[in-house]
Amino acid sequence: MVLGELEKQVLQYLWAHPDSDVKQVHSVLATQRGGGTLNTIQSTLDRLFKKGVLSRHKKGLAYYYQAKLDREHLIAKLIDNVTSDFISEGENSLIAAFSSISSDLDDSQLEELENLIKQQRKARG
Amino acid sequence: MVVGDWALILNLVSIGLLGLFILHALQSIFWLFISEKLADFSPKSRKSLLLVWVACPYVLSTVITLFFYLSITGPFELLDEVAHWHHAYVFHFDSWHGFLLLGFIAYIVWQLSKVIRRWVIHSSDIKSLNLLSRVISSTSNSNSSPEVSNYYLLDSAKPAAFVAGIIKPRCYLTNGLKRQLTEEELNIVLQHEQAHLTSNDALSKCLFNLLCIFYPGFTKKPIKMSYALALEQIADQKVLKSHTGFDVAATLVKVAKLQNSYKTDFSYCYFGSEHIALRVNELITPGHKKSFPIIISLISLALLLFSTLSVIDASHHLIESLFTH
Ligand SMILES: [Zn+2]
Ligand SMILES: [Zn+2]
Repeated sequence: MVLGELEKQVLQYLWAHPDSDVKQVHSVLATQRGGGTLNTIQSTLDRLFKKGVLSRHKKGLAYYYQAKLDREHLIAKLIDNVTSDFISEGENSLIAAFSSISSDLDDSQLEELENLIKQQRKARG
Repeated sequence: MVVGDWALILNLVSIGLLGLFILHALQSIFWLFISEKLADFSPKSRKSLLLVWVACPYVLSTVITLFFYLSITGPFELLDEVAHWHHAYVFHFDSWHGFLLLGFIAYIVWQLSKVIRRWVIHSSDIKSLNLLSRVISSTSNSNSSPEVSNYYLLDSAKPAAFVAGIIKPRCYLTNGLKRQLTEEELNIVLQHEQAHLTSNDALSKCLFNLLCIFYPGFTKKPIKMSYALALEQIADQKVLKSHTGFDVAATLVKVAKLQNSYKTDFSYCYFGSEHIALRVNELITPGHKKSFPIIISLISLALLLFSTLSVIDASHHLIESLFTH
C-alpha cells in the first residue's frame, strides 16, 4: 500500500479522531500546509477505503470513516510485508519447516545457547 | 519448419537450454553430497562458492552453446565427436525442441512478472514505512562505539531491526527493540545492519534468488538458506572489529528472545531469529575454517562441462528415439 503525504495526514487525523466525515477531516487539514480541498480529501478517503486501509459506515447522508489498523498495527504489518522475502513469498512456511538450518528456536533452546555463551566466556577468561 | 541460419540460431538456443537443464539436474544431485561439507568453509568463501554454484549453469551452458557453434560452423572435425547436433540447419516448431523453447519462454515471463508485481508492492510498502518513520542520525556519543550511519526509527512495539529496499537500502529499527537494548547492544545491532547496507546484501540476495529459479524445490530452498546464512555471518564478523564474539552472540540471543516473546509471523532477515544457533557457534568458537577451494572448483567445473557436453548428444538421440521428433 503506498501512502502519499496527504493520505498520511488523513490517516493521522483519523487515528486521533476516529469516526469522522469528510467535512471534519477537511476542516482540520485545510489549516495545514498541503491540506487539500474538500474534493481531494473526499477522493483520498475513497482511495484509502478501496485500498482497505479505512472502513466506513453511513450516518444520514454522509459516510463516516475510521482507520482499520491503528498506527502501531499498520507499521507492524508494513514491517512484516517488507521483511518477507519478496522473491519467494509464500515459501515462508516451508522455510520455517526446514528446521535443520533455519530453526526458529524456542525459549528453552535460546536459554541453552545463553548458558553456552556464558560458559565459553568464562572458560576463556 | 525453419531452415537455414534462423534454424541454426533456434537450434543453438535449444542446445543452451538443454545444457541448462542438464546442469541443474547434475547440480541438484551433487548438492546432496556437498551440502553438509559447506559448513567447513568460512562465511566469505561459502558466499563465493554459492555464487559460483548458481552462476555455473548459466556460464557453462553459454560455453557449451559456443562449443556447438564452433563444431557446426567451424572446420574442427574433432569437436564434432563430442558436440554433435544432427539437424543443425533445420528446426521444427512442432517438435519437442519447439515445446521446450516455448515452455522456457513462458516460464521466464511468468517468473519475471511475478517478481515485478511483488517489486511494485514491496517498494510502495517501503515508501509508506518511510513516511511513518523518523530519521535518526546516530552521532554516537560514547567514544568506545564506532559511528554508524543514519537509521529509520519506527514506532512499533514489535522488536525488529532490518534492512529493506533493493536499490536504495535503508536501515530500520523499532522503538520496541531500541528501548530494550543497552547502548552497546544497540551499537552491535546497528553495525550488523550497517554491514548489510555497505555490502548491498539486499540486492545480492535478490539477484541470487533470481538465479535459483530453475532448481527443483528440494535444492532451491537449502541453497537460498545457505546463502542467507553466509551473508548474516559475514555481517556478524564485521561487528567483531569493535566487539567481542561473546558480546555479539549474547546480543543475538537476546534479540531472538525478545522476538519470541512478541511473535506475530515468521519474518525474514531480522537481526536475530534466523540460524541463531549456527551464528552463535561461529561467533564463540572461531575455529580454523577452510578458504575457497580453487583447484577443486576448477576441476568440478571442467567435469561438469564435459559431462554435460557429452550428455547433450546422447539425450538428444534418446529423446528422439522415444518420441518421434
Ligand atoms: Zn542480518
Ligand atoms: Zn532434434
